[in-house]
Amino acid sequence: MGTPKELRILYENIDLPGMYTLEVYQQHGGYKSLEKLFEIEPDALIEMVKESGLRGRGGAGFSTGLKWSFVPKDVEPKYLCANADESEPGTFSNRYILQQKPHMLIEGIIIACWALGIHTAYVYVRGEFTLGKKRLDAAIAEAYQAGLLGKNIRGTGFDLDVYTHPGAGAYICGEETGLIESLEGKRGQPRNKPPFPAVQGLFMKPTVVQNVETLSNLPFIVQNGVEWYKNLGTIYKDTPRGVDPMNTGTKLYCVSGHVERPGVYEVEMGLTVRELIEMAGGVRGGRQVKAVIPGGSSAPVLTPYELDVPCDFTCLQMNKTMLGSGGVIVMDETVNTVEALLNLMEFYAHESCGQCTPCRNGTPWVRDITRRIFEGRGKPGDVDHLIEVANMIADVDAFTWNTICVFGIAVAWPAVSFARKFRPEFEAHIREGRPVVLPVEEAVTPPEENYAWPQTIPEAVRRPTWDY
Amino acid sequence: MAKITIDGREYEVSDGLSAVQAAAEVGVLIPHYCYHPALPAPANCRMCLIELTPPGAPGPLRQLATACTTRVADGMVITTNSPRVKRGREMTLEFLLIHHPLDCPTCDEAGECDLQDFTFLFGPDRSKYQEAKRVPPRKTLGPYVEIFKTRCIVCTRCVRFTEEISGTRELCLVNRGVHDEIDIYPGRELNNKLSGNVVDLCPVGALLSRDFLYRSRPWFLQKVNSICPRCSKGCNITVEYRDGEVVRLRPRYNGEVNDFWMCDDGRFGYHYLNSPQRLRRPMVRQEGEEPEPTVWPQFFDAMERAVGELGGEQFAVVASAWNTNEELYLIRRFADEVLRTKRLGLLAAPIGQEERFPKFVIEGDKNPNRTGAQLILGEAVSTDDALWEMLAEAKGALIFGGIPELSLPERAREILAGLEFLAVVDILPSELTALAEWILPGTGFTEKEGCFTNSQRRVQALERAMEPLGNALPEWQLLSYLANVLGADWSYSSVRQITQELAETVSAFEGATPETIGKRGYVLGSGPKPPETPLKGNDAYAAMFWP
Repeated sequence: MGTPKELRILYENIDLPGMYTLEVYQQHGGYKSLEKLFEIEPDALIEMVKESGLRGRGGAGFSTGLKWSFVPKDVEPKYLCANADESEPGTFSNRYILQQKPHMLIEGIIIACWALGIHTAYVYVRGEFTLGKKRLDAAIAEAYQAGLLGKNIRGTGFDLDVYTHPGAGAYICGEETGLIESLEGKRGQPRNKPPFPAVQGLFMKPTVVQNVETLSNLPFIVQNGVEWYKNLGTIYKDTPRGVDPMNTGTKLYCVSGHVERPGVYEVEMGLTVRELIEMAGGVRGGRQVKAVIPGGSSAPVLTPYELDVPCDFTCLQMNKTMLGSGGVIVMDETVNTVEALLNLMEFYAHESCGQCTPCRNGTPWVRDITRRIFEGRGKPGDVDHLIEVANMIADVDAFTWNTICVFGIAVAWPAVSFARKFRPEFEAHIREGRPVVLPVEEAVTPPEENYAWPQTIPEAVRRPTWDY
Repeated sequence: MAKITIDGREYEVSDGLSAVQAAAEVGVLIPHYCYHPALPAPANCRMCLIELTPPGAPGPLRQLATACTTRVADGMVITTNSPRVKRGREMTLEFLLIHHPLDCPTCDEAGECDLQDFTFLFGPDRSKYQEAKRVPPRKTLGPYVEIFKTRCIVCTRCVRFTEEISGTRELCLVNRGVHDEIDIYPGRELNNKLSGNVVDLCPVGALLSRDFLYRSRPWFLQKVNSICPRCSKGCNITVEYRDGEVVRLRPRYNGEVNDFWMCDDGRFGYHYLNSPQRLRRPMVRQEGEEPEPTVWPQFFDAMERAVGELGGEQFAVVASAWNTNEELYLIRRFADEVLRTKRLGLLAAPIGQEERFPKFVIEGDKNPNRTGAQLILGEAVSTDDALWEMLAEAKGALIFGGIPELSLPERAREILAGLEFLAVVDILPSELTALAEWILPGTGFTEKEGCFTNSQRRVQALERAMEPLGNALPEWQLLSYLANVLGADWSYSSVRQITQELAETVSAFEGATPETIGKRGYVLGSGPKPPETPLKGNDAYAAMFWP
């Protein structure tokens, strides 16, 4: 197997000076995929993407090709929305693409639009990404000048306009229908589904919303082919119904928190959480790991007992958490888990859009309970109370919710997982009436209780070899 | 029709309905707050949860569905009473109540509050909430509407009303998350002519009518069905009254007239009925003096004398476009058969401005029954300027007023002052009564029975809420007595009898019998009315959920 190594594809040459300009980008193979692209029939391209196993990198991990195949062919106009509202706490890979390789995103947009017959694309950029948006706007202007965007691209008769739109910094506008509402000039509140955006999205027309990282994969699939792409990452066999076995390609893991070298690591999917921490230089000062959030703050937290789960869509899903946005937050033994949860709950209570009842009233409720415990006003039974209220927003065990969007489960997951997995520390905190940092072995609920144990790791058809 | 199953029983329901409406059609209550059939469904309250099996699916969906966004289709199976649905409703209600002040004892909505009712029916009996409640301030949104933000559940019905129905867009959501509040845009005021409707729409006690604020607990109110007299649209309304006073008018659903709405002119334009100035007994004015109270026989004698001296044909009879069809019919008969005069006039409030909203129109004709008057009195009846010219030729006149805030032209006042005999039936002191020798108390629209014919030629019935004030006589009785004093032989014993006679003798009113008019009205010339069927669609919805 070898030791996991970085494999830079999206992030190749990302730190090269001037990589955000058309000139440098093209010197290093940029826009090469367009030479092949217009030879490929759109339907064949959709099939290629489906075949490649590419899954949405924004959080849900839905098959990109499958999503494209739901878009009706006979409705005009259709839209593409590139989701650059990267706002999941612990996630920072898209921001760097916007700043350093905006042309890669544009190239991906051209490919997606060709496949779907789309002539208007919007890039919804998080409001805080001022530099990223500046560079992207400049790159789009360059692309227009070079005939890569606009009318009759490269003499193919294909027209495409790309616009950027700054968000105002709301987390919920990263949810695809919240993004669409915001783009339409309304309050960023997610829509009821169905209808899904592929059928009725922006301006009630078929719309594909795709994460920046997902789109950035497309040039490499077109250029190097499906087989090349499928030879990266992990593919499982015999996964349960509803669990996609494909984890092809590389993933941009954003490792942050108590590691020696935080940063974005591009690795083939298939390494374990433990290996990822090692890749980031290990836990700072050689301390012990206490908790790891594997996929952005919404993902259920992992204990030190769960670090040998492969960090991919399939395995994390089968072990009751998720790869999400790939934001890996590492917490060491100095962390008080009540405070860590409070930090997250403050965020969610602040960011709930307030549209639907369970989330509007439930999220601050969970925050208030957590804060009460943290401030030493906890009462016996509060841990169960916290879990019960969080489960009212979204039932994490049944995986059902009565909310309009998945924000509900994104709150309940961390709340319930922290409270269950670090119950001894929560109880000690309540008992003592002050923050208590228990040693890792004592802070964690024994693995036999309450969570996936032993871990389920299905047999793989393909795993990375790391021998490059 | 779609064949669907609700709670294990099969039903046929109308096509194109939401599951909430379909269930209402068959008598199953699905609780909801944000949904309203006249507005888009945002599905934000999460109260109308159902277990849904789409047509052809092997079993119910994994997640509960919202009934408001579910369109019924053949073969659909809906469950509203399973443990999952009950639990879902309980959780939603518990969330809705955590910041609610539970101040029902001082809340106007108590007794007609969906939050109260559904909590009683479907809610948990206690709350787990131990944290602090939010207490946002109370605020005046406009001339008629006050918001109590603590009680608001942010269903946004009111916001959507100002977007979709009135198109005026004064209301919005401010802040985010638990800090969400309904408010007016900066510098705006909720002052459109339809603003009162947001109070009816509000499912809780957040938006309250400033006019009705703290005036009565709703359960002390008596109610009758009526028709708004403030314009020729004929909005179907409920008159709510207590201790002889009208305290509130609210719209009744009629999909062919006013939908769920009425305008503020009508809704709040009832105060004249409660005025202490109302005429309560007949009065007579000696030349140059203040009017003195008198009794009805004195007037009948005086009228008999005047007709004898001046001659019936010298008398003018002026009806009002605020008279009911039945009153107009008797006025016509009185002029034709008793006085035998050709001098027949019609007094009407001046035509105002028609006001159009995206989904509502306020008619420009500010009279409830000009259509009826023209059909019964004839197109040739003297009105406006011709009315005064006609009166200038007459020696005596009997005028029916009853039009609040009526103003007469200078010329009219001169002509009326020149009459040898002038009797005016009115409900308040007016420019007419100021000139009259005989001032006779009539009835307001809540004190009489009868029908108005609206501008669509729909005959709609008023029910009587209250007795006529003091010694006032309903106009049909006054006319009957007067006719008999003057030698006729009228023997009407009820308004219903007059409605029937009108339908039988005036060709335009053929078919408009008390039975066909019913609660929904009868459009003149529409032929026999189809037999009554169980309520469908919005009618069924309104019967279950609308005042």
